Amino acid sequence: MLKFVGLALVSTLLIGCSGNSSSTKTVDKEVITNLGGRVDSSVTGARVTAVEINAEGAPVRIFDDAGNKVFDGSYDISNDAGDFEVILDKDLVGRSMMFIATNDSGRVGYRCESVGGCSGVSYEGYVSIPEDLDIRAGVSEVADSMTVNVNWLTDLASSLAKTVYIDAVENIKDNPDVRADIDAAILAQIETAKTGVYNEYTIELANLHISKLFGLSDVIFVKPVGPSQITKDQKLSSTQLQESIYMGALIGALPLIAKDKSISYTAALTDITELLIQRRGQLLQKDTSGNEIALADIYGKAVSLLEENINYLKTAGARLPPEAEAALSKLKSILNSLTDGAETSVVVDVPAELAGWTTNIGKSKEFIADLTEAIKNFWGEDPSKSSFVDPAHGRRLDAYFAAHENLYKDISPGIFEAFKDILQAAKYLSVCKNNSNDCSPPGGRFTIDVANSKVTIDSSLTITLVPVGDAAPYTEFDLDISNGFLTKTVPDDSIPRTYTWSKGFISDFSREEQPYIRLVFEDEASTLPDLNSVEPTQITVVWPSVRFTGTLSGTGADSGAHAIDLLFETNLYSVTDPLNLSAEIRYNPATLVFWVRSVSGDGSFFDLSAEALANAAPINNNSFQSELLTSFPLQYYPSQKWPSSSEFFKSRTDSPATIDNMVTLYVGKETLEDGTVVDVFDQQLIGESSLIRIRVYPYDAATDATKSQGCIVSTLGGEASECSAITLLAGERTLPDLLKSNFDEGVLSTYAVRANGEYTIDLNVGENDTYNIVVDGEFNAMPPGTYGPYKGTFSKSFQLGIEKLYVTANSQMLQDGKYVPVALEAALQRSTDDIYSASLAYGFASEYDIAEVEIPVGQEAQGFVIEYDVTLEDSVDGSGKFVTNEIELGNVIIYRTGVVLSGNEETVGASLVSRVEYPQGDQKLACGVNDRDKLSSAGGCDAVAYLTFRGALVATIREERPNVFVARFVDGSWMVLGE
Amino acid sequence: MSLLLVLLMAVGWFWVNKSFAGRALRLACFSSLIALFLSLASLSHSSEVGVDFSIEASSEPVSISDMVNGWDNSVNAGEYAYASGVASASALHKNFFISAERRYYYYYEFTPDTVAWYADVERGVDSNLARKIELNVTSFDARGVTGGYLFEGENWQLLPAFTLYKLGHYQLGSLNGISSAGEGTNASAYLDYYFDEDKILNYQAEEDLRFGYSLSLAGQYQWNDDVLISAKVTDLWNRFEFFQASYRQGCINVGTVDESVCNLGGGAASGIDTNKDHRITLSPTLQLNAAYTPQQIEADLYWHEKYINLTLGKYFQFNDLNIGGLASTKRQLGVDVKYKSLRFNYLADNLKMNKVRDGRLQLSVSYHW
Repeated sequence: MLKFVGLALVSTLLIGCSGNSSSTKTVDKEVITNLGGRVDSSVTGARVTAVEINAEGAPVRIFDDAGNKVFDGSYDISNDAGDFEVILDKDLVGRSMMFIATNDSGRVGYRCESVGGCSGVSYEGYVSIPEDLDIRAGVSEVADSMTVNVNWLTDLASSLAKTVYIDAVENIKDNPDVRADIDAAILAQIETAKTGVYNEYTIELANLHISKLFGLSDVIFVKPVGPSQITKDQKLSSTQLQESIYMGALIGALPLIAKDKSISYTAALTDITELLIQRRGQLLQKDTSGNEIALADIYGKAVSLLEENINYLKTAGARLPPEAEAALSKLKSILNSLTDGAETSVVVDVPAELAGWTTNIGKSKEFIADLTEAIKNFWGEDPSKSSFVDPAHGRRLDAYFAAHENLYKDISPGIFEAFKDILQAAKYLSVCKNNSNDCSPPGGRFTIDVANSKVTIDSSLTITLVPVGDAAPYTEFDLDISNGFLTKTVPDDSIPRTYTWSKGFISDFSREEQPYIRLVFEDEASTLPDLNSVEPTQITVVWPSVRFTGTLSGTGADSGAHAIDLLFETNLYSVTDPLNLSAEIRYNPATLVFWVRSVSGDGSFFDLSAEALANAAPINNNSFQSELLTSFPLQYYPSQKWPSSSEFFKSRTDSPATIDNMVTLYVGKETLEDGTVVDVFDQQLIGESSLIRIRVYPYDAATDATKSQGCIVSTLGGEASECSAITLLAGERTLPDLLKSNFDEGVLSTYAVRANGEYTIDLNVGENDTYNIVVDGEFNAMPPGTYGPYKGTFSKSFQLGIEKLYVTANSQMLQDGKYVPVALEAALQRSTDDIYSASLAYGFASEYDIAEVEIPVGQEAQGFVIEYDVTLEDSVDGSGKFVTNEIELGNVIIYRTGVVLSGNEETVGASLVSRVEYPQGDQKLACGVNDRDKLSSAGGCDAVAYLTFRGALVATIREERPNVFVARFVDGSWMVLGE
Repeated sequence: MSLLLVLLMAVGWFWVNKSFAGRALRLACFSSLIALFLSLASLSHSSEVGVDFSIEASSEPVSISDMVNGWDNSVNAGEYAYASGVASASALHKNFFISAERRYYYYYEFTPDTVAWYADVERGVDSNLARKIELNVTSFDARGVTGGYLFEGENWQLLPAFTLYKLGHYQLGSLNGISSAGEGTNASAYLDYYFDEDKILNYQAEEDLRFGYSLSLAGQYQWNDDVLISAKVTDLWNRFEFFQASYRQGCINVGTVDESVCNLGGGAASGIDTNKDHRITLSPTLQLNAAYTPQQIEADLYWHEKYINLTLGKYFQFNDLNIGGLASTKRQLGVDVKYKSLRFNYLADNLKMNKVRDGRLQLSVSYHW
């Protein structure tokens, strides 16, 4: 299991996309954070959505009610001034978020700032932006009531944040101001780090970068004032107003550049963005050749725009704020300083700006190293290394469970002896019920009360036969077990052990039940058949409580009297071999529930009510619960009569390679009682007493649906005796349609022969070749008639598998009068072979009560939750070929205390999410976790995990070489995981 | 296991680099490139075109084949592995010389300790000695164009030539560290690695342009009627620039060592990948030839870094066919066949191709008027 945990931790954690919240988020009482800003200097009608960044470093999207994919989050529509205000959940304060302006309404426009008008739109009118719009602003940490402006400059920053180049670290030795705890070797000579994701580091760096590039104090915070609005009261200080006018002029330059180049507003932005990315965050200062947009083009337009507005407003007699002239002067000054052909040289001092975060990255590496060590030393066998349990507690539990194991060895023979007694009692009773002369079992231990259908064992446990049903004949019989006990003494354990059966709640807690065994038979009978000659087709055991006591020794202060309580429920199905009817009937478990609880003392602790339990003095108590639902219990023929764990995932080895006369098919028509004539398809499979029929009704145009139905028939083409409910198929479907699709999917030529396996048939073999059912590999037709019998060829064996498995283990040991809980919970659900969902949760905490398994918090807590889902998704590739993609999603959340980071013990919360996707094929490539050994990828393995450390996405993890998993951090550093 | 794999890949990125080193061998055997060749001996002609293909290879620890495909048990102590392959086409007219070439260059330098340690790892044998790991790798391929001018005197000729290279794939770097004795593999090593294709992990970045410049000098001197001396110094002055090369600093710690040589942020293997301008300079290669005409004897010296090979040849003339038997200080035997303007030269230390540690192959043809 630890291997699985380790693999999962390092290679595959996944998150489901967070698409479960509404696009129109409901505002509840906890929502207190107002956050406002402006779109460009005046973009109106834009939907501005405050979007969380998910664990994959992308803004969260969901489908809205109309089925459109939209950004998820609170939103507002910008007014004519471009202003918006969104209301955020206070939980989002401190998170990294994107603010995205989109053109959802199709009525988005920007104010014309040119005095002479804008292509038919008058000055201060609104120029429509008909195309899609996606202008972003990224905020590394959202603060309460902060200002976030969204404009094309912030969009440049957001683009840079995804492909950001972290530079400017010349050499740490020359930079004494940086924090001493930044590893020199890591930071030295960093020039580029490309992450491809948004995270708070890259967002912050990019905003700093663009602010410097355009001479702004903060590209996010400064609210641009359009040149046409400079005379209006903006309620800003003089310094703020000057910078806002300066920025407004720059913002207004983009439409003018677009106009000059005869391209759209968004196309101009795209051009500048591409240049910025291509030049690693720089632009040409000036480009007289005109080949590309340079900073001088932007400043030139900004200057002319602001200047013409100032002149216009002066002429109009408006009172101009002096800050406008000052802003114009600054723009001109910068414009005049730009050099032709030279690149800008914006430098962001990464260590200075991100010192704290870089430390966080370093600590995340230490955490991974510590985690790796803890996984290898999970149970604390080496007390000098990290572990997931306190080493002393681990040794204590080792001794405690070893003592339980010894006790189990002592008492288990007695349990099986008692169980045999109950089965023997049932047999004696069945014999007696069928032969009144044989109602006195030998030995005197079993006493039969014929009149009341009871048998008593050792005068202490009574079993009562109760037929199930209102009146004879019956197919089901219960053997109710009274509250009672059996005492056993086995040779290796001279101590008499008493096992007590009691009434109790069954595993789903729906009701209390007396212990019982239910036997189901194929044929009806007036009483329980003689079990020596007739075997049941199904056996159900429900024992809510079987209790016994014992003494633990060798476990120090934890030694002493203990009580153990079992719950046991199972359904066993019989399996016969249709090819060999004389073969032994054998049983597979369909369900199995097994719980065991252990407490110190006499067991009265078990009987406490919930209220009494809350007030009871704490004592050591441990429990293990398992619930199992198997797959193919009716098909797999086990190698032994009674269930055994060794039968799982095992194939029968002696199934025949071929089966003559395996299946006969029939296509025809049936006239129903109401006169309706339906098409039918019958299937007669070897060894099966019932024939299966599929009915396809005539198409009903009124409902645009076709009815279908499954039935049981006695002979091919005969009358149906029993039918299922009607199934509605959408549209017009015919039997030939269904047969063709069944053929295409392999269903028509593949048949499951119970106890043996799946066999395939050749539909054209023998007499059937005249029908040309299959031509050139394609289904042709099956006109009315009888086909076969066909010979079957072995294709695939049955295996008893696991459809659902749920296991929990809880330990609550007393330490200084308080519980130290350790809990484990595992769940597995398989829909078919190798397609499953699995989860595993573990928690250890000192002085903390884990009521259920979840991530524990508190002193000395250690815990994790792993979830893994494997699904298949069909798609069509570029060449029109049908492709099945396997998708594996994983999610791991880890909480650990006492992790030594930079010399100090710290508490750490981290998460890993992973996504693996690949087309299935036989290219002998391994991908993801599932089926690695089968090399089932057709190539194109896309597998990545994202590591979030203390709330920040710090690294991605990929399998860069076979079995070599590499974590790459946002600062360009990397780390190989595992050994 | 994965960490060891990374270390082995780091050490062995060139040992087993079929796609790279193997190319030179394949070139030697199968190349059909037509290249003009200007041999030292042909400088006397006023106009000439020719093609030449040559490869010089030497591997001290294992055979060249094993160096490419993975080591077997025949490992000797050694300090270098070298291979140089050039296919060129050239023309000389009115003393102006031009040439186009395809070049492969590999030079790996290491300590005998490194060889012994790697051999132990390859065999899965526990080391009983602590060792020092030192490995330097320089390898690249390039396309080049050359221009030169032939200066002539009464009994001498001198051809300075300048080559501009456009560099292709490259693997440059070093691995330095220590290993400890004990069960399993115990080593700590620091990696300094420039590359365009990541042979160790899978870092993918955008590199910028990469160019090389090299000045070579070829000449000959007619000592007297009997002795002709020819010489060529390749890469006499050179510079190879890799702009925004993918660059890795890595620290790998496998097993247990007394003291790690590096720590790049915790973990058993960690480092940083980035892009960085890089420049290298190659050591010059000297080829010296002296021919004593009366006895048809030639001596040939090839010298590059630690690789020095002196070859002696005795030639026999059969009409237009001139056949020479060769022997070298690398315990090679070979043959040199000259027929008019055709030449085939093969020298090896083993008859079995996959056992050859030191080999030379040269094919050339020229036409002059």
